[in-house]
Amino acid sequence: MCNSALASSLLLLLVAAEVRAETVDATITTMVAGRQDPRDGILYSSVPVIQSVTLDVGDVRLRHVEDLRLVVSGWGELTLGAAPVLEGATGDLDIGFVEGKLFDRRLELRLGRQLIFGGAARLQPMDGASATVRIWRRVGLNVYGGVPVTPRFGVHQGDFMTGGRLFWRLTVDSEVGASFLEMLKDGLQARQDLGVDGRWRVGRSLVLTGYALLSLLELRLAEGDLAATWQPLSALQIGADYRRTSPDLFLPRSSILSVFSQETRDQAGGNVWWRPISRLRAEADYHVILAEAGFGQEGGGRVSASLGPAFETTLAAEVRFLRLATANGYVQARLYAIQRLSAVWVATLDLDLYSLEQPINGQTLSFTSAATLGWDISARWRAVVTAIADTTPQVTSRFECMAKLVYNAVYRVRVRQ
Amino acid sequence: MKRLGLCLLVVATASCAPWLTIRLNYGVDAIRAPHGVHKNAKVECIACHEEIYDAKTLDKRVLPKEEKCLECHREQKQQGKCSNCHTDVKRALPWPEREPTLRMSHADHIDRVKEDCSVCHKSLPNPLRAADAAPPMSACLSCHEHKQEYDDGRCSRCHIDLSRYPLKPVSMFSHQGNFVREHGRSARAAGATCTQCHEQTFCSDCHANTVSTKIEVKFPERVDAGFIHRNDFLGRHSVEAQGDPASCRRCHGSSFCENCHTQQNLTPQAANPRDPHPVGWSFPGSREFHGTAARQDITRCAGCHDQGARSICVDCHRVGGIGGDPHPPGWQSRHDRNEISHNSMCLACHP
Repeated sequence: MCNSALASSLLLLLVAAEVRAETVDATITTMVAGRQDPRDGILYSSVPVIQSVTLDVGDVRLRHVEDLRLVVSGWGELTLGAAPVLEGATGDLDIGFVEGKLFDRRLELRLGRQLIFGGAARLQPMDGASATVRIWRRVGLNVYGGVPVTPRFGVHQGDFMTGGRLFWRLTVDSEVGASFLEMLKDGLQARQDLGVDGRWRVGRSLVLTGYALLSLLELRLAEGDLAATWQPLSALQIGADYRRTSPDLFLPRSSILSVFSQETRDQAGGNVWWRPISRLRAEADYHVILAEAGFGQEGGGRVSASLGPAFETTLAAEVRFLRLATANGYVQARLYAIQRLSAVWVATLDLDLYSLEQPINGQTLSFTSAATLGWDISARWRAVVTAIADTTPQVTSRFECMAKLVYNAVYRVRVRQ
Repeated sequence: MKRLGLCLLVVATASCAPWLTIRLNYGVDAIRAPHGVHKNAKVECIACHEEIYDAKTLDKRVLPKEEKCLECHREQKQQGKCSNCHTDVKRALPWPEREPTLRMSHADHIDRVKEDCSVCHKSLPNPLRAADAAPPMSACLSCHEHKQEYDDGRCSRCHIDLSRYPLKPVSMFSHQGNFVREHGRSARAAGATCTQCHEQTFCSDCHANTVSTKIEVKFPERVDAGFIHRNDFLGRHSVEAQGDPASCRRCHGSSFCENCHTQQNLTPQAANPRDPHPVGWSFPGSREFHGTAARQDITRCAGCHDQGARSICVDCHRVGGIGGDPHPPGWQSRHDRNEISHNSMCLACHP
């Protein structure tokens, strides 16, 4: 897990004598929770202590390199629990890279653990290197290569990945691209995809987006997406979208199960967001689903109102449903409230109920209630206490609580010339 | 031990951080310098800001020193009328230092605007309100060069670090409406624009698959946010997974499902496996026949049975097995038989 982090650290140490950082952003969060985990019908109590740190070391000055920075985000967890499976220490690095720009910012290099996003890469964490070069005017190329990050629970996604995206940036918010990705796993091709994508703003109020991903190994469309978002007024947004996926192509081609199916799923619908007055917001969405098993539909709506002279109270109600042709479905109703008690105190309440069409573990109802109290101790410190009680298809009843302490600061080290 | 060491390192780093704080004292005094009054008195901008000719960065504020002010206002000072200029006379300070947020060379611009400061500074800045001091961005974009950089999304040519300063977003980046719902589509095709203001750590809170805990647990106070796995998602996760299998598979691989399902004794690998399948699962022609279910949603099978050559499917569906040919229609037209010898996964059933 730490190969790229080690490389980044070494690189930093090597150049440390020659560079100096002027700004360090730090966010440090400590979370302590008392939790009840269901395992095979038995509730085990556990107390996880999580410490996370995010550092952004910027304004690092090095000759010929601009915007040089080091970004690290990692965490460690120590869990004390009654069940052996829940006990132990763990930790990982979410992000950890060094980046810099060369040749008048025409070439951007990034080395370490990073998120690769855009085009065929979808959003893939990777330990490796990426480079983005502006080839000519608004045409650029992004290439990358490395090892896909193996996340928690040992989900081994692949041994190596490489790819790139050629893009043409029409304006700052309109861009089209063509991309390629290949991922190897256990010596076999897990993915080999070709993608095209685009985002185009028409006038000031209409945005069109499109995306298509072709599996070169199966010569089938793995994913296609078309959407239009129209915002005729700042208080009104209307959207329509169509999406086709081939769920079996989301399995690695190296999986033995990838040869059993060639299913498709289509989804079409729309959404609307409306703020008739500054204190009231409403949104709704509805989609028809056509899958191998038949028709389905999903949708929902939410209304939220801000009350009080300084909008200190927010009340919201939400309803959602999912109905599938042959599988289970549900109807969900949720109420939540946010109350600003003072400039530094805030309380929230969340009540969430859903009803299943068919029982799971003999239960069709699930109810969760959560209450939170937050205190901004100072500009940099924040404390949050949360209590959750629920009765669900998994547990008859459960109670857990959590305390969170956040330290958020920016250290600026001014270097006098 | 390595993980424990990493934990201890993280905790130790975190514990030290508050003591690393460097306290900056910006003071409370501010200096009144009404531009309007000076302009009406026919005072040229350069008369007070003469160092602007050599200012290549905004690191050092090009503001007149007291001596410059006293060239005109010495009499007031001698009369003790300090409050004419200082808002807090008892704690009078020079101009406060300010962290520059832009890369801007006045020296390079001054000739291009023919020493007419109003070309960029459309309104006379109020020195007591920092936000008023800078020209609007539209003034920068009125030059072709900067318009081109803006269209190219090369914000860092002017902005030192947009992720560090809370800027009020301009029109198309205001994230109005239901932006969270649509942000994935925008980021997929124009992610470079997002990265001008948002660091990857911002994305990784929700999207990194190495995270310590769900975003809903990390930010319990954000009840208004559209988090996916809120409250009892676990109870209905199988329903959601059937509703949109690809959506789950974007982040979760088979092992993610299998790990938990094994602990719940739902997989063949469990110590005391339970059979979660319906009665007609093994009988062709039954409504619940597993072959039909697998054709309709193979990712659901993968949640427990994706063990490669050790998969339970191989037992029956291997060549010569009782399960018959599992490949979907049209399979052979896309896959040459020669693939078998090159692909170890094929060899599990085609020895």
